[in-house]
Amino acid sequence: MITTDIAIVGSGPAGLAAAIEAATSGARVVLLDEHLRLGGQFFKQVPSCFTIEDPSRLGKEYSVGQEFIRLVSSDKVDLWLDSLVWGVAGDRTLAIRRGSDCLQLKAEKVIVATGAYDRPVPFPGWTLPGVITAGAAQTLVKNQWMVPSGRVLLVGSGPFQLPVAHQLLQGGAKIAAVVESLSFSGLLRTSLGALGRPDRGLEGLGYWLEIRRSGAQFLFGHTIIEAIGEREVRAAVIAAVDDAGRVKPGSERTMEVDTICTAFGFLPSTQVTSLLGCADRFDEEAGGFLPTHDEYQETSVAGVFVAGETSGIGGSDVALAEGRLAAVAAAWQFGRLSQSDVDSKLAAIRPKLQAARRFAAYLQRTFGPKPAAFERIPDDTVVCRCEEVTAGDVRRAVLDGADSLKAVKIRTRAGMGPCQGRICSSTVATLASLVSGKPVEAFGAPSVRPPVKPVRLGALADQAREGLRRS
Amino acid sequence: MKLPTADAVVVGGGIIGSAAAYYLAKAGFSVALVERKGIASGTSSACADGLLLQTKAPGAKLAMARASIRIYQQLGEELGCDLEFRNEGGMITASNETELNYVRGLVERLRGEGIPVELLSGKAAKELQPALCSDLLASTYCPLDCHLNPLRVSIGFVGAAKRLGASLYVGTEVTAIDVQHGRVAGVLTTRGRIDTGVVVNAAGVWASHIARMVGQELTVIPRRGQILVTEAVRPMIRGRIIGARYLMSKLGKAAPSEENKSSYSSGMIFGQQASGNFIVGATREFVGEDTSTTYEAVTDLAGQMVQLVPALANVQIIRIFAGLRPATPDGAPVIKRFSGPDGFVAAAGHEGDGICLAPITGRVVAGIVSGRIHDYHQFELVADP
Repeated sequence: MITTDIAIVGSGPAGLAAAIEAATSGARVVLLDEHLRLGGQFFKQVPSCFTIEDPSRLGKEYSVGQEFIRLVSSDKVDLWLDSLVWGVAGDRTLAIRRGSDCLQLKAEKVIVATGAYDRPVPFPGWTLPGVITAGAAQTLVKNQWMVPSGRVLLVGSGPFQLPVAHQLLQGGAKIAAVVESLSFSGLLRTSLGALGRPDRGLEGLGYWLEIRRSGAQFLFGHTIIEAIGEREVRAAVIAAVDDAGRVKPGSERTMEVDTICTAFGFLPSTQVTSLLGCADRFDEEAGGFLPTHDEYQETSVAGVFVAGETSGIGGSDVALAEGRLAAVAAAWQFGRLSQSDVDSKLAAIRPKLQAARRFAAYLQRTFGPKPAAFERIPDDTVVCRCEEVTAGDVRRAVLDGADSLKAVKIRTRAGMGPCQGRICSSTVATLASLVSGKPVEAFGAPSVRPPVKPVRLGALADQAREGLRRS
Repeated sequence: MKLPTADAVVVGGGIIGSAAAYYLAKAGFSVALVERKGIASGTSSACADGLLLQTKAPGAKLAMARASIRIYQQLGEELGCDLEFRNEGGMITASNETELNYVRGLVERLRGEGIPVELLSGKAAKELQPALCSDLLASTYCPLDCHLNPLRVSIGFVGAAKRLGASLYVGTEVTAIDVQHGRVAGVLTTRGRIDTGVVVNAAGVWASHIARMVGQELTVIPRRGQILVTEAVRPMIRGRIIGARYLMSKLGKAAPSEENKSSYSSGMIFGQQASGNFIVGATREFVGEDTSTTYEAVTDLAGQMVQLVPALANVQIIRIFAGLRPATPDGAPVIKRFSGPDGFVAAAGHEGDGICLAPITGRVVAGIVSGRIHDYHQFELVADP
C-alpha cells in the first residue's frame, strides 16, 4: 500500500486548483485522473502525440488549462494518470486501477473532485447512432479534433450549448440549428441574473453572434420530441414548448439532420463520495443527491473534502474556488499552514466563490429540466440502456408497488448494467415520481457499489497473487 | 391505526417470506406480508442462484432440496412469470489431493442418498466445460442441479400471493407482537395493528429480533458473503460450478490454514446467468450486519476465479457487493411451530440454501399453519399437492 498526505481524485478545474494549492503548502500530493491527460472535460487536452500549430483554435480553456497543468507538473505533485479510483479499501484508502494494475493508496486527506457527466433525457430514437451528448461532441472536438458528420442539431437547455456549438463550428462542423427549450421572453425575464457575471453574459453573446453568422438557426422555446432513423439518425422532430416544458400541440415539425447533440445539463459524479461514506442531501436543481459539506468543503467524513461539480453543478469558476478552498483546509488540518496564512487565503477565495455560486444558482433555476420532458417519454422508449429497460417497464414496476430505486431495479433490472445506473437512475427516479405522485427524493439515492467503473477481473486477480507472495 | 385483520401475518419479504405468503394464500388463508424495506431487498437480492443438491448435507436438507427442485420445475408456469429456471447440472471441482479425497467421499455419500453424481477426471471435466482450466484434478457432475433468477422468484411469489388476496405492506416495520392468554393476537407495525392468530417469522438474518418479541430464543447469525458480478458475455459456462474448497468450508471441513481469526473463508461458487453475467461468490465471514466489501476478499475471489476459468481474466467486473446469510449454529433451518405462544411459526435460518429451499419451506409453513404437520421433518406430508 502506498501512502501520501493529500490525494486528489480528478484533475479538472477543481482538482488542478486543489493540487496547486496543496503543493504550495509542502504536503505530499497525489493527483489522480482516470484519463491519460490532465485537465478533465473543461480543460480537455489533446493527446501528447499531436502537433499543435495554432493553440488559439483549441479554445480559451485549452490555453488556460495548459497554464494550470504547467503549474501542477512540478516535482511536488505526484501525477497518477490512467488511474481510476474504483473503490474504497478502508479509511481514506482508495482502491485504484492504475494502467493495468490494481493497488491501494492511503491518504491522510482526500479531496474528491470527480466532476460531472451529461444528464441524459430520453426521447424516442435517443439510442440511435448519431445521437450523442454535447459533452461527447465536445470531447471529440477538444481531444481528437474531430467533429460529428453532416448537419448537426444541438438541442437542450442552458448556456453549455453555446460554447459547444462554437467549438464545433471552429472544428468545421455544419450546425443546422441550436434548439433551446427556454423561450426568448423567458430568457429576457431571467437575464437579470446574468448581470452578476457580465463577462459570462458577453461571452455567451459572442458565441451566439458567431453561430448566427454561420447560418445556423436559433430556436428558443423548442425541444426535441423524437429522433428518426432506421440504422442511424436522419431527422429530428422538434416542437414548441410552453414555460412548463409541455409540447404545444400542432407545433411539431421534422428537420433533416445527421447528428443530434443533446445538452440537458449535468449530473454530479458522486460515486466516490458515496463509497467513502459521505452523508448526502437532496437538491434537485444542483443535480440530485449530493455530499453535504461545511464551509471548508469537508464532508461528514473527517478528512474527506469535496470540490467542484461533485458538490453540486456550479461550473468551472465554482470548481476552481472550491478546489483551492478544500486544499487550504486540508493543508491547515495537516498543520502545514499557519492561521494567518489560512485567513488571508480564505479572504481571497471566498468572495469569488460566493459570486460564482450565485451565478450558478441562477443558471440552475433558469435552465433545469422540466418534468414534462419525462412525462412524454412513450412506454416503449428504452431508459436504461445497459439492460434495455423501457419507460413502461419502470412505470409498471412503480404501479406494482416498487417504492425505491432498488425496488425498481429488482423488478426491472434498470441500473444493473455496467454503468450501474449512472445514465438511467435520474430518469428512473423522475418517472417513478411522476407516476406515483411522490417526490423524486422519496425513491432514494442510487445505490453505489464498487467498482465505480468496470475493472478487469485479471487486474484484481494479479493482486491476489501479489498478496500471496508477500505473506 | 388498524389494518385489516388477517389469518396469518408473514414477517419478512425475502424469498422465504414471499413463498410462505404465497402457499398460505393458496391454502385459503388471508395473509398480510409485512416487510421492513422492500421485497427481496436483503439476503434474497445478494445471493447466488443455484438449486444444488450436491451442496446439501445428506438427510432432511437434501430431501427437502429434491422436493423443492421438483416444485421449481413447474413454478414459473404456476406463478405466471419466467423464473429463468435452467436445469444445466452442477460440478464440484477438485484442484488438489485434499480436495479430491473430500470430493470422493462426497460422491459416495450422495450416491448413498440416491443422487446421481459422477466423478469425472480433470480432462473429462474440461471436455464438458471447455472454459475450465487444464490443471484440474477432477470434478463431480450432477445432472439434477439447476439454477434460476432468485429475484424473479420473490417477485413472482408476491405477485401471485397478491392475486390470491394477500395484502402487502412494504416499508413497514414490525414493532411488537401482541400475545394474549398464550396465543398470538396481533402484530403491531409502523403503519398500524393487524389482528391475527398466526405470525410467521421469516425475517431471515433479523429473525432473532422478531422471536425475542414473544420471548423466544432463535439463534440466527448473519454470515457475510461477498460476491462479484461480471459484465454480460457470450455463454462460456453451463450450469453451476463449486470449488471443493467452498463446500469444505460450508460443510465444516475447511483446512485450518484457510481459516483466520475473523472466521474468514472463501471458495468458488459461480455460474453464468441467463443475462450473460457471471455471478462469482463467495466469502464466508462473521462480521455482524456489516455489508461492506473488502479489498482482500475481492482480490481473493478474483484470483480463485481466474485460476479456475482463465479466460475470465479479460472480463470486466461491474459490481461487487455483500449479502448476509442467516446462519444457525447447527447449519439447519428452523421451520417449526414454537411451543409457545400458540400461533408463532418460524421459517428462518436457511443460510445459503434459502433460494433452493424456498418453495418447500413455503409449503411446510402452510402445512404447519393448517395444523397438518409440526415441522419440516414431516415435509413429505405436504410435498405433493
